[in-house]
Amino acid sequence: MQRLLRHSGSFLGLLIMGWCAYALAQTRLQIDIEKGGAALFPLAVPQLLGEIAEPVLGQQIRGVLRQDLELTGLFRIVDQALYPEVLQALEQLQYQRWATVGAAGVVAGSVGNATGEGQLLLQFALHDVAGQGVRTSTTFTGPPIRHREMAHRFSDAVFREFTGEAGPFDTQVLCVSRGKGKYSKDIVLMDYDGYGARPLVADGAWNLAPVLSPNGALLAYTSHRSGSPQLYVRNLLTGAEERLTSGAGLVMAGSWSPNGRYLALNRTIDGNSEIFLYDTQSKKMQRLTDDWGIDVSPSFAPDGQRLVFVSDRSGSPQLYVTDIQGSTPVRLTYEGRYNTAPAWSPRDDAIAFIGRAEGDRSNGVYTIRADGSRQQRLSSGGGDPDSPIWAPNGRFVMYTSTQGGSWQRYMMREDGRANHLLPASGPACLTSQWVARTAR
Amino acid sequence: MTMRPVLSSVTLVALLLTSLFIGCAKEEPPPPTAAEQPRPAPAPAPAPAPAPAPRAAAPGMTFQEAVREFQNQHIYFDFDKYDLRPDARAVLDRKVGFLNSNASVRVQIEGHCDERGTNAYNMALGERRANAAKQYLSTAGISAGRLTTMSYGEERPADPGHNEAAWAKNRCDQFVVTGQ
Repeated sequence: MQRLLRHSGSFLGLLIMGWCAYALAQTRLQIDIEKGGAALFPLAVPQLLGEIAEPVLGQQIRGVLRQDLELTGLFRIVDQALYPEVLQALEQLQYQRWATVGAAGVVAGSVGNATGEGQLLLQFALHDVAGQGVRTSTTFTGPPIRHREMAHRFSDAVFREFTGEAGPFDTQVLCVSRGKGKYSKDIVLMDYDGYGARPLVADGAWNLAPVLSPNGALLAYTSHRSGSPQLYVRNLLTGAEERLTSGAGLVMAGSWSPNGRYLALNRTIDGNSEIFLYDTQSKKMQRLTDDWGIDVSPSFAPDGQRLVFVSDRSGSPQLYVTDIQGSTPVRLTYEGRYNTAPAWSPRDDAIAFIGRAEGDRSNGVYTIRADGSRQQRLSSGGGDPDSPIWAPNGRFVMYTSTQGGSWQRYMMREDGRANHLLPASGPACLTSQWVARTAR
Repeated sequence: MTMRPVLSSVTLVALLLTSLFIGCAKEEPPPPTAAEQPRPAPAPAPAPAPAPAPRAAAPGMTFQEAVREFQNQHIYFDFDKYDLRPDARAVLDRKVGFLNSNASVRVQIEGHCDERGTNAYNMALGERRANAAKQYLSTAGISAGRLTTMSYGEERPADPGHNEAAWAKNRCDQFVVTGQ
């Protein structure tokens, strides 16, 4: 018995190595792509097994997969009209026929009921057409209401298969949307694609500038419910809330440190806004900047030491870098007279921001390295962009653009390619933060 | 010139409500200047551009009329700036006159921005615009305890339009009597 297992083990090992070699060849091809349909890896997403019995669910699931995969900028979805077969089994494909219609990969799926009360059973398998086998497969069980989440998780699995990295799709966005009152603003948490929106703060007051702590438990935000802007931290698990400020003057949370200990914020003292750190351990505010200008919008680096923020101490708003010791800020941006809304990548030394260089007709989304090099404009097109935020995997940037008074959200790769307008699902809102899915 | 010092609460509410409906659309601001100065030195006053002369208060104006004028005259700012232009100072001088004549009136100065640019920075910009006016008034002798400030950033544009004309009207401070 053991000899048989050993033989089949080494045979399987050879198979896997062969597939891996082929897969690696495919993966290298993806990372080299230029924008344009011809070089994108063609994927098919055919009707799910069991979709006949669950047509609405099946179509939604495939819609999620298609949208996610197209947003990566790595794939194009082969036209459904070309699909050569209706799948009879999850792991069996007529590979030759799929190859003929130009599909290099097929995302097969099956939807049905799991044993147990009202549970959904969703299975996916990513097929390699040329390699004639399954590259990765996953099975999900859970309440049917979580079908979108399950599909997002498989999109992430496909992304990881091709890039070796975590995907951006099983994620959520924290944002600020118009409330019911004329001037009220609510804080909302929703899937990155706008679905499943639920209000975290919706009390009829003007709420703004929300940021979630790294563990997803604490929400820091500004509210005008008392008549003036104050900083609150709410524990989303217990409902307990602390007010951290009093007195007049603007205060806005900016960013939590990666270890969750510090909240970086700006606070106005004597009519002059400065960067502060709130230390959750000592419960004390620590001042980081001291100058006559506007100092706002701090964003932590992934090293938990450095912060980027906006200051107009030079006469126009520019990006500066300091650290938790409050070291003398170093100016980062020298091009253009308007550089604001910085967001430090969670992955490395890239900073996204809103800028306007000389000669620009309007503001754009820019990135710059933390050493001041490689400033480049990512976004083109009309509209007034605001609040660029990084996906938790640090490979995509989302931002809100206002045109004619309406908000639209865009998502693009960190190099600016594959910029897509996200469908207008969920409330129109100003993006504030992109986070891993918080526990329900 | 006599002024009734007592403002009935009904009149006050009516005036406050009126001020909410009247936006920053009273004066045409001069074109923006190009000078950029490092902080903290405030930008030197640019050459005065043509501006409509503020209407002189007629003798015998009632207190309610004076309050209405006080609340309806806004001051305007250049794009991305919180420097007080000469036309702004002229309006503020008139407000000093009213506030000196009505020594118990309290005011909230509300700073606004046009819709362009980023929300967070506009909140700070609106606050600096409000504080610039507060500083001017208190330097002129108005007790700071009578003056509060509030930034609305780009949240409450007086003019909902999406063009230069609307934006110019939205870069302003409004002055609201909050009590006396």
